[in-house]
Amino acid sequence: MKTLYIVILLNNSLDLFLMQSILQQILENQFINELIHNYSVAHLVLHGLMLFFIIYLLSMRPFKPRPNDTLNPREEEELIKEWKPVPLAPKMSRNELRNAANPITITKSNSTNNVVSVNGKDNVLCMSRTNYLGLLSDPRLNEVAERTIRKYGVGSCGPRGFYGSIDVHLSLEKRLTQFMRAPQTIVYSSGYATITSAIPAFSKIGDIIIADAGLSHPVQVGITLSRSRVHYFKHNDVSDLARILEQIAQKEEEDLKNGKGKLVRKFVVLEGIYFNSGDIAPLPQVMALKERYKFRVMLEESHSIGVIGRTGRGICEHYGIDVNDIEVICASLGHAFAAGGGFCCGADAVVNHQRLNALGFVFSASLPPFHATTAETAVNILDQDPKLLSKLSNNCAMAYEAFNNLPGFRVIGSPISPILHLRLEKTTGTRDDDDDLLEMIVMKSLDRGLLISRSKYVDGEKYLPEPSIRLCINSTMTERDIQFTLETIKDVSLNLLQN
Amino acid sequence: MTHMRRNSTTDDFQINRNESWMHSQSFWVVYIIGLLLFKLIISIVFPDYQYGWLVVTVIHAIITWFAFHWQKGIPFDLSDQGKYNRLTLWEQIDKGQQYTPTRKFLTLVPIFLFMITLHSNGILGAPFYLNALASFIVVLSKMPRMDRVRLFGINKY
Repeated sequence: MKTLYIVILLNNSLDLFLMQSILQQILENQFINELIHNYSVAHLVLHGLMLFFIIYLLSMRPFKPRPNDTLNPREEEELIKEWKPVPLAPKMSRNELRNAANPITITKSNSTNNVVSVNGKDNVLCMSRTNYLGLLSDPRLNEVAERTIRKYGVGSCGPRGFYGSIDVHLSLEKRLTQFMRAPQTIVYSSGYATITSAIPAFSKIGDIIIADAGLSHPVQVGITLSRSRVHYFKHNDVSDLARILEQIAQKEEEDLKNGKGKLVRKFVVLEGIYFNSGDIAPLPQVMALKERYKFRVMLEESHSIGVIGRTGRGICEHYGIDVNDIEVICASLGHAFAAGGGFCCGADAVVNHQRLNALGFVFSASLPPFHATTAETAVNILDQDPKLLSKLSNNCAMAYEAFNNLPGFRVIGSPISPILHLRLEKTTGTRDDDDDLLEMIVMKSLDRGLLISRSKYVDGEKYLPEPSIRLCINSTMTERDIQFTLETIKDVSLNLLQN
Repeated sequence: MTHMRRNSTTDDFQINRNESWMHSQSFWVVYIIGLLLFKLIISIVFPDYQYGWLVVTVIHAIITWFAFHWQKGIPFDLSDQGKYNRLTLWEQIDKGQQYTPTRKFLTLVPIFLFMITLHSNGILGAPFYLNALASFIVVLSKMPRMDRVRLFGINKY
């Protein structure tokens, strides 16, 4: 009680009379009386101590015990001792190490007969370029490129939206529109960025993408960037696609009944010719589902435009489907047309939307002018010389036939596809061992004057294709080249595959 | 009682988000309401349980002791470049300034809890010792003298 008294004395600093009267009041207070009667002295002492402590605490002024946070030498020593450096680059996986192990440097190349110099070794037959029409370093293209560089220089100042649009871009867009018989075309500065920008430009969060499990890397990246809900169907399996579409339709119906239905966009993403397998997409069957399930189709045609179809207009021409029925068609100009960049064609609204919404178009410098002119020239050459295509398809059929006789390998792909994958007939057990074996075959082939490549994939791809050797056929190859390839791989792999 | 930073060195513009939220008085109110709610729940679930406040005090002491005096560094936002890696949350408050309003408030809470428990559970037997020990450890850890002190090198790194 005494403490309480002092507290009041200190806090209020009243005169004695007032204090006495307050004390009187406190003593008469029933609650306080109860406290006094029920409580032991120890109790009160403790409470009093606490009150003192509280007052002490509240009365203290803020101060800072450490004016600065510098370390003393001993602490510094300790810190230095305990510091363990983290490697600058993360540790590479076995797959990454293998992919980086044997760099291929092509120093001299002669496109007309596919002969290159690799790592200082001359007269190597190159079977791994996606130069399907044999237009790479074609004298006509070289001349156009040189002329354009003399006129415009090598670069194009800025993005298309900021001083980067040059007449050659517009002219190329016009030419491609005419070539594809589509309403409009947009030209990107990178073939890879075309599809990776086009998919996220249309498919947003909440939208649904139904994608083939065998899509190549740029398409996978585009799908990931779109942040949409993704369903994968088995590679080239239309019944699996129909099953997934049916599931989605049922779910939509249920949601609609429960009143939480939301209108979303649905896209089916396909590749014309699959780079990872050489298969051709079953487009007519997919189009048959289109009306029923109400989805849009996005096609990646980097390896089919300028390759299949009667006049090289890609898978639509191959199957006799109207280009206008496909919403988005993307392709790289870097394969058959031997230039750089990519393009996307579709309806006016589709293309104009991309001019402000496709990240790869808006936020990167425009296509170098000489790429635009060479691509345009390549398209012209293709239109003027349909023999290129017949040669190519002959070569593809011939190669498919020939490699089917290769012991120890299975040929994946189709007779009209310029991409052939040679997979091991008998796997060694693990993926890594298979890849090592194929890498060895590739390197031994190189020693014998044949440049082929193993298909390389990024770690963590969702549906990794089986390990394979990838061959690219082009229109300038002769029967002798294909026979030479066949014999070399046969010889090289004979010993390796037996063990 | 608003939290003010008078010494404007460049350092003062870098807000440590690990502790900055504690200065708001709405947080203080929420804190007190939370404690009362906790006691209310105990009273509702076990109406005849006489050590309700003791449970509140001890659990509060355990949680706050681990949160304030055991955990070090900043669990998110690595932009401090390890500056706070060796400081507990308590030592980070107000950049180490002692007896600031926030610190005073956070010290008063366990003291009042001790007093309330003392009032309701008395001064005899195990409940009192438990109460006293829990409160003593929590309050002692908050004293300026204990700033950056690691007893016996425990939890030093």
